[in-house]
Amino acid sequence: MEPLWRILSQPDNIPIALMVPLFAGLLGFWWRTARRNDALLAQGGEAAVRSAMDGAVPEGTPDPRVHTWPYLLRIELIAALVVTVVLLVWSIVIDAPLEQLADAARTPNPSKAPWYFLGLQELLVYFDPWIAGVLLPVLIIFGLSVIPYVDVNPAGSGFHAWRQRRFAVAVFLFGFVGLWLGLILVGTFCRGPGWNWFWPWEAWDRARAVPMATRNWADVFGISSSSGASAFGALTVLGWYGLGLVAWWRLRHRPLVARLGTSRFAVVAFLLLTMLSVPLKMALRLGLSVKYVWTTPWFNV
Amino acid sequence: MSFRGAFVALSAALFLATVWTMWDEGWTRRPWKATQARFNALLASRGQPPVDEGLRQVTIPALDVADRCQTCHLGVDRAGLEGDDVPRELRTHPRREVLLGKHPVERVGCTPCHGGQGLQTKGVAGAAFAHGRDDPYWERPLLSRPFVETSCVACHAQEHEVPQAPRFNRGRALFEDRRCHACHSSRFVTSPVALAPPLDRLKQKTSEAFVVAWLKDPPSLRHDTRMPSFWPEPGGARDREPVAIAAFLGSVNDDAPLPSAASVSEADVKAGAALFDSVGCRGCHVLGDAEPVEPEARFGPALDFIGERASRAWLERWLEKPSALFPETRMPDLRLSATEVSQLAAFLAVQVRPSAQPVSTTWSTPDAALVAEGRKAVLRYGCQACHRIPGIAPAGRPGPDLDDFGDLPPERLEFAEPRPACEYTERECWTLARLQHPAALRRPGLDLVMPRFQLSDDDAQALAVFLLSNRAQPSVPRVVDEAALAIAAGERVLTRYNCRGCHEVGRDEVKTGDEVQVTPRGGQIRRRYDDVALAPPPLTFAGRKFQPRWLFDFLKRPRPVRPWLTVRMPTFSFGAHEPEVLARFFAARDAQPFPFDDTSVPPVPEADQPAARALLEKLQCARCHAVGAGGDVKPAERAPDLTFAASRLKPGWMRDWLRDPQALQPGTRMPAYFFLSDEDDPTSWSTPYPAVLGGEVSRQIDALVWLTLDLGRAAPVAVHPEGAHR
Repeated sequence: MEPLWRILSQPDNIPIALMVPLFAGLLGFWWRTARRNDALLAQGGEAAVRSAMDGAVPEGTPDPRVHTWPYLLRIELIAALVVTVVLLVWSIVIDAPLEQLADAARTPNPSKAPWYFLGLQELLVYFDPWIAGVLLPVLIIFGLSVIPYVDVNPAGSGFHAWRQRRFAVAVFLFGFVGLWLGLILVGTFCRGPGWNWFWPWEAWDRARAVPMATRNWADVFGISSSSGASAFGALTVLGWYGLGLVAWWRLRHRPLVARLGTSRFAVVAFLLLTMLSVPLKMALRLGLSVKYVWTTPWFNV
Repeated sequence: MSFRGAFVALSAALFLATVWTMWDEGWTRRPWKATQARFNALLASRGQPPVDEGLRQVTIPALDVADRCQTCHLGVDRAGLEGDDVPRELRTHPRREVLLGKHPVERVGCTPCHGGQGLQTKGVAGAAFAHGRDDPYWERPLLSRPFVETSCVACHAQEHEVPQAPRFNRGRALFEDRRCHACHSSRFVTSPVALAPPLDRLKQKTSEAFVVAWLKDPPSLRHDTRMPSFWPEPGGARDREPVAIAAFLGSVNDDAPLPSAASVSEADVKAGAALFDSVGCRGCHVLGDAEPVEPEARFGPALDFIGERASRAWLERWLEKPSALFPETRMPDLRLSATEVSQLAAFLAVQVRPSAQPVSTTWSTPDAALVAEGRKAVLRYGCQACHRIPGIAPAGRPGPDLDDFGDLPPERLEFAEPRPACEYTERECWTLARLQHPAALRRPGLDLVMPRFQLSDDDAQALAVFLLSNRAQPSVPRVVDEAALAIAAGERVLTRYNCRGCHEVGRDEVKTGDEVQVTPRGGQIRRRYDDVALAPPPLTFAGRKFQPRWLFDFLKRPRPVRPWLTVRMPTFSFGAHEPEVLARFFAARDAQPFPFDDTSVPPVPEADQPAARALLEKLQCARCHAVGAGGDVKPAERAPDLTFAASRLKPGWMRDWLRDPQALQPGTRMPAYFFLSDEDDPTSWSTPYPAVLGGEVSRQIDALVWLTLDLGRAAPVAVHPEGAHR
């Protein structure tokens, strides 16, 4: 466990060490309230949830709801004070992890991005830089900004619940917790010299050489001509996004889908399929050593 | 908790944190204030005025240096704080007068020599990475004490011996001596590798059994060998690979067996023993020496049990002309006669342990699979880097380049557990471990082919110092010192051919009180002769003595000046420029002009010439300086033919020599004719013949020099008389 301790005790990684229990706690809190609210929803609908949140208010007593000022804002002031004090003490106690002068001829091994970008860096193992570094981040930002426009589910607003927002919660858990945080944790704890995989309890062996024999998707099926491979790859990618059409056909009568409409459904389906394609491609790479699914003379996917 | 309470508590906490920040900046991050207070207390206890408080920084843009070391190390450049009672960090710099005198801190700084973080003033004492020691992210970590010498070469690379850096000098010599540069490059070593014996004619020289035993453990068969152990641990590949390599070597050696040498008698062996002691072999080789001898005498292999590894027939061929068997050998040709060769070989061939027999050249018929395995092993271990092997072309250096070894990235420094005990920094410890216990760094999957060399702890440390010097270092610009370069180049040749085995070149003077102890550098062989006059001459003042042209010719084709001596200047297989390098070296040592020098002397006036000739007669110069044939003088008293002088000697040296021979060559048989009339006045030279030439010493000497040179001019001596055997 000594290697794990070495990783954890780096000043760089303190935020990650803090993030794991903090986020686990938040998720646990959400899960508890969501379960309770789900039960209330089953009994009496949203009204039951809201009255439970406000507390049982007997007739004649004053409304327990309070104003933002001063009741919320002064809690926020306290929080701001706490954060300021913590940051001050942190900055005194723990020195910034400065490293040596940058030298392009001698880069550190492993070269790790700041912790919040480690997930993107991990994607570089599976995708070309233009996808991992440009396309996917753009799509993430785009996807986050379209949420208000494609979220047509009015239910479950203002309280935690699972039953009413299964899709939204599942997408969040998968995309943020599973992919984003998961990849950050992988990059922090499981990547060592040469960006090779080391379990957190394994010592880093700098001399470890991992064979890098890869092949393309078409090779798996024995397609050797370049145009054939190109066409096969294009078909695969098109087929993958074609799943959106299938889903539309199967789900078009559901009320929520009907309310979304075709164009919004297309956007959601595209973003969702793209997100799902990330772990799929990772599985292909790790399981079948597939480097590219679609090869063309101009770009490779 | 109420809002009010929380607010008050947090505001107080914020206030305290702010105060902490300020206090931290002002005091915790300025621990040097406490050190300066301690220093001033120390000064006060000695009645000296205090130093001003404040940060001290030396900025040298050319060296990229901003050092604040003297903020705490206030005593560094102050005499009088040497004692052990002064805390170590406040003490005077060791050897301050030399080291800081030559390298003023305001011009050189501290970190260019010591490494470390010159700007760091916080966390230096006791903290991890103190002074940048073992900080993986600091490219120049603080060097441990012995390793500070690794910095000297930044400016002193051109000197042959870096002053005040014995470990570096020894390490550099070891690097060449152990032929490290056969496998690894170094930015400070450009000389070619002195090859180890070629591995052809093995079937004429030795037996297969010997080759196998030798490969397995060279030091057990010859304690002083430079050959490293490729299989230091018993078992494993050691039982297989040496046998395979011997089989391979047997398969590529197809020389016809030598005709068995003529039989020899006991008398021949005795004559050979006498020859061995007198002809000069002991300049480089030891044989049967009980007590420890000088390193120069161990230059060549110890010949104690030579008969167990070399056949008599092969030894004869070798002694006859070493370069015929091994063109790159440093063993010179002693120009032995056929009789001498057979006597010497007879003597050497019987040098075996009491329990052993002289070697018989027996070889088995090689098995093809074994030969193939042997060839693979030879290539794997890079044997061809040092030995010429038939059928294997030497191609580059098999090992990694070490030009930047001192900059080895920290992640390359990996230790196997448990680590060998070591008090230095990671990089230094790793280097030492790599040299001394390579197995300690061996891990599964990492196959080390580097063999283990015989290195004492001091040797390993010296070599580690040299290796870690190989790094990019900022340096102050220096004027190229032609003389220093010439001396450095000459010293390399001197070392390469072990000239100091026979000749004294230079003297070390160590002053202890009023006594001056003079230790000659080299010439150890002299003590083996009953009379120093029968030993090789000292060359300490050779630059003043010899004309460069004569020296050059003599080195190329030695022509004995003293043919009556048994010991003889051998013929070396010098490289193309080496005689010139040596001639230049001797000239540079004595600050003599090179290559052109005016050797003319003004003639003695006609009127003085009869008196001059009379003086030459009176001094009886010709009695020992045989002009022409020798006469009845004892060999120890014979002196070189004066007719050589005109082409050989420099007039300036002759004058000094005539005036005071003992000063130039202590113990010489040359009589001192002139004397000091007043012991304490070094200018009061007087002559025993006050009537001659006005009794002036300088006139008498000038006359003698002119007459001597005139002898040579009257009977010019051919520079290269063909057929001169000795």
